[in-house]
Amino acid sequence: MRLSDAALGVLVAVLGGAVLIASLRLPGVPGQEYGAGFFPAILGTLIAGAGAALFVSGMKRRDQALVVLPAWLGDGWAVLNVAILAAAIILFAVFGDDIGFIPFAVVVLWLVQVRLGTPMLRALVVAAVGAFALHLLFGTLLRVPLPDGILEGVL
Amino acid sequence: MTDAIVMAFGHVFAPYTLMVIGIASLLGIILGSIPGLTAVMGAALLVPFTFFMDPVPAIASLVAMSAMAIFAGDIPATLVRIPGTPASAAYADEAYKLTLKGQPGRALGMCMASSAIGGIFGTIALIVAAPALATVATSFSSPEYFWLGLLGLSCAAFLAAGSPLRGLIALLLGLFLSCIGIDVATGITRFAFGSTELMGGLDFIPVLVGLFAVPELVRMMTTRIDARPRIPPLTNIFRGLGRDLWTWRKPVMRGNIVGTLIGILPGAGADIAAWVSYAVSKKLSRTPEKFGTGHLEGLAEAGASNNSALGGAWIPTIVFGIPGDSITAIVIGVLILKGMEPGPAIFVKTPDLIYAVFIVFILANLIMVPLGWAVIRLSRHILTVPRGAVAAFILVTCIIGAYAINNALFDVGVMLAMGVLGWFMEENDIPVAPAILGLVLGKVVEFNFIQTMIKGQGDLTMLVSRPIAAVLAVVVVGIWAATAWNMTRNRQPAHA
Repeated sequence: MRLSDAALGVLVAVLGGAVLIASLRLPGVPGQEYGAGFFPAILGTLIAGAGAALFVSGMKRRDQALVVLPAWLGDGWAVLNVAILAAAIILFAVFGDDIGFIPFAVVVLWLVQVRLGTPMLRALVVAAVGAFALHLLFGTLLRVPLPDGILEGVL
Repeated sequence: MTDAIVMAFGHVFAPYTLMVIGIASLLGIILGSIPGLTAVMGAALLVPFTFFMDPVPAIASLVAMSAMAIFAGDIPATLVRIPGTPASAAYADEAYKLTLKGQPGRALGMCMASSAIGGIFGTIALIVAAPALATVATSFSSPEYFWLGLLGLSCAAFLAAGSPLRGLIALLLGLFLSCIGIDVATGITRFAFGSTELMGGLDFIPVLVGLFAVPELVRMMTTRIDARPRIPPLTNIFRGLGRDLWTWRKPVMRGNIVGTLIGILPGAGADIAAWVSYAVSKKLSRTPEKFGTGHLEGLAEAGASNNSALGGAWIPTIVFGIPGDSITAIVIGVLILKGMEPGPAIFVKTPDLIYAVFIVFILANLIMVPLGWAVIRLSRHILTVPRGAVAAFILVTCIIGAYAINNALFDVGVMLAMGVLGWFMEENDIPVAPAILGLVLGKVVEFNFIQTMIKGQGDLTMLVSRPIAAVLAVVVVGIWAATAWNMTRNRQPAHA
């Protein structure tokens, strides 16, 4: 999603303004001039300034579309792939403890491979071996407490 | 000092460290030779692992991985004209022309040899320059560090990408991200939006993985590739290599020096070094007309240059804590995670560790030759690894990597949010590297700034009252003025 220079400038300037306002609201420290908001307030001002400069330089150009959507949005295959990518991360972030690492990894490893053209059965073998290998590497060797989820008690 | 060197050898030649170096080298070669996967992304993927290691193997893995990846990027550049990492882009065409002439082995041999030589030269520069600079830097206090930090950040924003304004926006964004959480100086929580997880601040690793890896995953999963690349038959990479190296010894040497210097510059790394050296080589060549037709001269110079930049980038990293490129920005994050604040004091506190880094650098560049030879022979298989498997494993590794640091699912969400941000930034030509530098250096810059202000009781002249600080201030102001002058004079569009 590419914004024109002017639109991006406005977005950045608004963001900078928000940072500035939020910083000024932070409480000060008694007896000290430079509170927690001092540095972020400077940043907010600079961000707003950079956004304004981008806006000004963008207004001189008439050849830019306001928004250019990524080319892959017209390709259903690619859109579904991105949706899977995002869904996989969200799924683990929200339900990771319930599902467990191994079931999650097998499904995601399999699905992504199949979507990118690996034959189903081969993808399944790679996914299963890969999930256990990753569990061995992180769970056993590096001692990360990966969630067992639905396999709790089985492993 | 001898004790420290002996200890350093002990650290490096411990079986565990050697194993880590071996695995990281292999990973670097594979990631580097798969087009689209960069050395920086490799570092981002490695960092979650380093979290579980001792300092020496942690740093060693990053050194070995990045050295191998930068060299391995030359392999697909030569064989199929697709640079494996951006650092090989400058001479991909030249190398491929040699392949078309039926000399892929000659091109790859030169890439491998010049990479190893460049890497070792950069390391020697690091060994000589870092301790000497550290002696000077011990007299620094907060104003100097404030200006050095600002200098590093300015260079990162203005040198890295085409548009200084966009680089600046990225940098400010990174600095802002570093403000999230409890402020160490005042104990006040900032920008946490009531979230207890955010009170501790954004963890470096989920941010890093999100910003660098997620956009690459989006790209991998949205591009259709029709056919597997056709790999031309290989020729012996060692045949005539000695003669070629002797013929082009001057370009290799020049590449070493230019690469190291560019590496030292904060914000400019191996990619820029290769482009500059290729251009320098063409300009100073007696036969510039041969460039672009499959000529070894530019290849030798730029091949040495990008690897020597890796070593050079460590000089400001270790001595001042200012990263020379994106990879060393990640290294600083790792050093801080390991409780070792980079800076001149590191030479006094943990000299054995610094010597260990030096040894690892040399070791990595030496094993590049046999390992590179083996991988070139196997390149037919590496270049045809199914894309699906690569994307799938990177995705799952990113997720565990983000999770593993605090064993917190919240961090996986942070990674996704940063991934969306990173993707949006890439779409709009806003470079990601300055944001990482901002995040890493933000706390240091803020701390030194506030400390100096408190010392001077609000007197801004305090920032320039010491001679070295004043010189640094002039340099920083000069860079800002020159950039602003360039932008207004050329009236160039902001994304040019």
